[in-house]
This record gives sequence, structure tokens and C-alpha cells, in this order.
Amino acid sequence: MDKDNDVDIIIDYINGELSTEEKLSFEERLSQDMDLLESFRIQKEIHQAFLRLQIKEQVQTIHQEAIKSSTNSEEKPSYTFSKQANTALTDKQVLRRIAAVFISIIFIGSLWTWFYHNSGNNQPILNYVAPLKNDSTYTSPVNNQSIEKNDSNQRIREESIIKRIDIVQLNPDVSFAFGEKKEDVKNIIFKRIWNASSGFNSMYRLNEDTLLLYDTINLESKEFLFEIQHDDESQSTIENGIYMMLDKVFYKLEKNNKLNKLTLIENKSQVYELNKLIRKK
Amino acid sequence: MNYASSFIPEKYTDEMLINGLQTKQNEWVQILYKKARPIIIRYALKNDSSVDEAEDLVQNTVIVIYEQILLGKLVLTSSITTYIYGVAKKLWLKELRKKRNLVALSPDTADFEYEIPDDFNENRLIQLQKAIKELDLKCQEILKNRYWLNKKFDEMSQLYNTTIASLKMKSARCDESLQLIIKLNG
Repeated sequence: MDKDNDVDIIIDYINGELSTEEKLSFEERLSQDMDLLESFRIQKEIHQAFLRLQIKEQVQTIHQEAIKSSTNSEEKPSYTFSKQANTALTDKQVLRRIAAVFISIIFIGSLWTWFYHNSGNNQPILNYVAPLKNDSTYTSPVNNQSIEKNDSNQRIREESIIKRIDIVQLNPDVSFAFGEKKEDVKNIIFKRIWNASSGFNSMYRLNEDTLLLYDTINLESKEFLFEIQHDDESQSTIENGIYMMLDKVFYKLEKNNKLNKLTLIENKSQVYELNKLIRKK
Repeated sequence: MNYASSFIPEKYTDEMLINGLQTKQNEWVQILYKKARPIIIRYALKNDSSVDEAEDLVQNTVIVIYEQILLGKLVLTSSITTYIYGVAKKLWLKELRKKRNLVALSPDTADFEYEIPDDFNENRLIQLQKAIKELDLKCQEILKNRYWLNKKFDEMSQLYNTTIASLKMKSARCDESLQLIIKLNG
């Protein structure tokens, strides 16, 4: 194969335009020809740099246009997180929004009053978690044992809330929100994963929080166990593994419309309130 | 590659978005940008970022995702929204570590910095990007045709009304100039 054609082939290879056969043959040559390998390395680098440059220009243009259009519409860029933050609102739309907010306030207010007077104990809604009773026969749903008591559903709910708080605390974003505790939480995650490498049982213990979560949405726990059951000893890989696993859990919850159960306690003050309730018991 | 403006549907799936981005059409990049922006701004502002830093994070995240898609490295195991969030999170944590001079705690690897190889590659890429900008316009155009528009030398020879051999020679000279500029820039 002549040298001139090499550049063509390298570029086709980089652009993913070679057939499987051509690709294999090229890779075979790469492993034997050091000049070709060096030429490939250079082309690949130039390709990536050029691609990055073009992408940067394209994204920067879009970004500047977005900023410009939000400035023209005399609104701050979309820090309000509104879907229409970059669009100027007409007077009619503004009036409609004010009316909608007003009606919502009245509606939520009435609903709150209704709950407050009908709950019987005049306690805030957060107290939907009933106190634990002394019940020796009760076992955690994580252990797969049967629950015979009448109040078992209530207990499962309580347990799952406790567990979910644990999960949320393990979530890097929330741990991040806790500021100083971030590194502690990371270390807890790390230690748990490290201990888990000794076998399935400890892996099960490691995951019992998450397993419970999976059980509530009828997911197979195996695929999640797999996520961290690798031999890679690099911390960043393991960390990424557990972050991805949590991402997947959130995705599945979202898909099953159950994310609200988690967002309920993602708020720091709510976690605090729930922790207080749990401590009382 | 077809650069003509194509029909962009009002509703689209993640797969459609990824396929659309592979065509490099501006409309699809705008869709990705609009999707990513509120998620990233919300996340960044919640996590000690200034407005300017949040804006930078938006751009950097979109660049990373778009590049991953073009290089065929993006394997979607969850929704694109989750992916956007994940990338932004990683970039922001990296930025924070730099800013606060922190190193991730790790019992077994406390003495090693994982990010050194990445930073080395990033610096090399930045050097190359600067050098590309310093190349003469003809060379920049050839690079664009080769790597952005995926044109082959025979197509380009028709475009420039020259022979394939002389075009390849010019292209090789451009590569050499690029290496020379990098050397000169130190």
C-alpha cells in the first residue's frame, strides 16, 4: 500500500468510514508499522483538536445568541429556569400568569386547611409517618421475611423512608449540598464498596438500601449488583460505578413516575424534619 | 454529509437527538443547548457557583456531550437528561477541586492524582487548537473539509480544481506547519 494512500485510509478510519474488513486490516498494519502508527497518532490529534475547535465555535455562537436574545427581551438569562425565560411575555400572558398563581395559592390554601382539620391531630402533613410500635415480630422487608402484623404496610413505608434518606445521603449531589460532610459521605461510600468486594453477602448488605428501593419498583436487583461487582481497584472507577448506578435508579424511578418519592426528601430541611421524626421513635 | 436544513420535529426522542447531532446541524445543537441549560444552571447555582461559572459550565457540558456524540463515544444507558446532569456534575466537581485545591480522599490512592493524564491531553489539545488558528486560511479550509465535512481528497481536488497528488502534498505541508507552530509556541 503506498504512503500517499495511508493519509486517506487514516482519515477514513478516524471518520469511521472503513468497512469491518478494511478496519481490521488497517489495525493489523498499525500494530506492525511504527511510521504508520506515528502518522495515525498525529492525524488523530489534529482531528480531535479541529473537531473541538469547530464544536466550540458552534456552541459559543448558540450561547451568545441565547444571551443576546434574552438581553433583547429585557429579561435576565434563564436563571428562573422557566421554559419561556428567553421569550418576551405579552401583557396578556403576564396577567394570565398572575391569575394562575393567585388561583393556585387559594387552591393550595384550601387544601391545606382541609387536611389540617381532617387529620384529627392537627399535626403537619409530614407526620403521615406513624410512630413505631413495640413489635417484636416485625422484620425488615430487606430480609425477605413475611410480615403478618396489620400495621406492616405502615412499617414498610417508614423503613423505606429511612432507607431512602440513607440513599439520598449517599447521593453525591446531596452530600455535596451538605458541604463539610461531603468527603465523609464519600468515604462511607468507598468503605462500603471496599467491604463489598469480599463476597455476595456483604454485597447484599451494601446494597440493602438500594435493593429495597428496587423492590419497591419491581426491578431486578442483579443488574445493579453487577454495576459494582468489578475487579477494578481504582477509586474513581468505583465511584463512577456507584454514581452511574444511582443515576440509573433515578432514571428508572423517573420512568415509573416514582421520582417524587425521592424528591420529597431531597430538600435538606425535609431530610432534617424526617430525621427528627425518626429520632423521636 | 447533508448540511441542508432538514425538518426538525417538535417532539423528539433521545435517539433522534443523538442522530441529529451527528449530522452537525445547528438546529440540533440548539435543541441540546436548550435542553441542557436549565438543568445545568439550576445544578451549578445550587452548588456554590457564580452566574458566570454556571454559564461556562453550560457551554463546557454541551461541548463535551456534542464531542462525545461526534466521536461515537456516547453510549446512552439512561436518559440524555441524566447524562447532561452527570457530565455537568463531573465538570463542576473537577472545577471545584481545582479552585479549592482539593484532592479526592481515597485510602489507597491518596498520593496519586488521576487527573494528570487528562490535563496533559487537554493542554495538548489546547496547543493544537491555537496552532490551527495560526495556520494559513487554505490549510484551515483543507482541515475543515477533511475533518468536519468528511470530504475525500478526490472530492476536494474537484473543489479546488487541482490534482489529488498536489492536494495531498499541500495537506502534508499543512500538517508539518502545524507541528512547527506547536514547537515554536513551546
